[in-house]
Amino acid sequence: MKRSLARAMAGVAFGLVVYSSPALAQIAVVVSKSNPVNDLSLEDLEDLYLGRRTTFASGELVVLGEYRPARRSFYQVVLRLSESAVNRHWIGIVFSEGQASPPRVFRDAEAAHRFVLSTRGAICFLDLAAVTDDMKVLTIGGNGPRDQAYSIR
Amino acid sequence: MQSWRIPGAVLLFGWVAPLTAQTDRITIYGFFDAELHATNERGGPPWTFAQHHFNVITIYRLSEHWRVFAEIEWEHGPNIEAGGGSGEVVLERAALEYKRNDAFQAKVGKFQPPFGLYNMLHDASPTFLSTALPTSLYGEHTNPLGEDEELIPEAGTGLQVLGRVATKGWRGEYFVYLSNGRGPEPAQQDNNHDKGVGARLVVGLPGGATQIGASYYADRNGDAGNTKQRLIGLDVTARYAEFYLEAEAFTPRLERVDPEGLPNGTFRTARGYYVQLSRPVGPRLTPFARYDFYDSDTDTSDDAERDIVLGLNMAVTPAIWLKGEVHFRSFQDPALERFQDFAGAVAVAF
Repeated sequence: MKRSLARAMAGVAFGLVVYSSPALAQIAVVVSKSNPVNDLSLEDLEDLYLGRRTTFASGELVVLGEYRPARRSFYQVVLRLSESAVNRHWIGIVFSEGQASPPRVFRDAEAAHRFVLSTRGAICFLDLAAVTDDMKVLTIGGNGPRDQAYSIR
Repeated sequence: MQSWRIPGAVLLFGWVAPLTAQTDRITIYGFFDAELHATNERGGPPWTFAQHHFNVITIYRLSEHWRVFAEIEWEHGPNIEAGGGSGEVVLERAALEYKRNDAFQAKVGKFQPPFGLYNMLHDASPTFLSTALPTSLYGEHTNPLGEDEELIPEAGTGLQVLGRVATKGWRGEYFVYLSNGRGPEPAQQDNNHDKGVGARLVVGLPGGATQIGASYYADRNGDAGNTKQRLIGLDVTARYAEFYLEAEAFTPRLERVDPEGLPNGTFRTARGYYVQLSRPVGPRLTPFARYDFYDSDTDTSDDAERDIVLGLNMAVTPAIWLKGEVHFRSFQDPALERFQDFAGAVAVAF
């Protein structure tokens, strides 16, 4: 009885840790496999997700996507901005006649997956666990999501 | 048949369900705000509500390289009647834009002149923390005819070339434009031979946290007796830890008029600056403080004014902001009494 209670408590504790620590989740940046890009620096990602650049190095037009559940962590790490500040920034770009288009928002991984595979120039961030084999996971500064030095988590 | 269906659907449903109004070719954005103003200025107006802006921005993508950008503003709840009414309906901007790449873009039509941090956003209240932009640079001041007027034109009709480049962490952005300048019919017919000429250069330092800009604008102001006017400004934004700093300094040079109201070839120089510091507190609240100064004539010593602003901005949702701020206004002229204003607003982007 004692053992099963201890197990149950450990399970609850583990669940709480996992549930309450979304920042520990790995976030992958993905593109279609047909996209020639393999690696981006953090600065590249910042430029793209702040609308400062609208094309990949190949010249292809970028179409940004964001996976809503990973939004807060991604923007905190990559842009060092709160969600509110990011919203305000994009509204500013649109209203000041900027050419960049705001990220398309996806509430579930399946919709983000469809977007990446079906949209030319698409790039999106996702929980690593939601990535499928038909997407290309980019390295960031040479590090993949499973590397210790990977910075987006 | 198909050609009218998409815009028709956009017009019908865009107001209530903006996300459904987005198509690959047409995108609709907009903003709305409602404000509350109160002052303790002696003889000042009673406290009041104001429905300030309802602006709709429509972007028509013609191809990968071409688009038309247009914005219509309904300001102060227009109620237009023959020979009177209140409020305004304005075509704020309408331009054909060409984008070769990030480094080279061009537009022709009516646009908001890029000057300083906010002239291209002067109405778009969801994009700034305060209800009112800094009075020194974006407010109205006495022009050479003694009338209140903004230092920078809110719109220009003409040509603009712009672009941005980046290398080794540095970023550069440029804008150059030629317009009719100000006048009685600025979007139809220039009333003098001097065009409005402007330029803006922005440099972003490596790391992305600091940006420095310089702006220039000159025209012969058809709204102020065709006086020559020139405005030079410098601006900086910097982010350090959680703090965000915005500052602008500028100096207008305004030609005086003779008793007949004609330009007389002598000039008055003004100067102004503001510094604003903000820091988010949690995911929704951003308090800010601003010091704002304007001296309308540097040759005299009794016409400077100051506005110290303390305010709070709250993100209610990702698209709705509540704002509240107190302005402490004071004057160099001892005959003018200090007073305080309160401004509050709800600003919505859609």
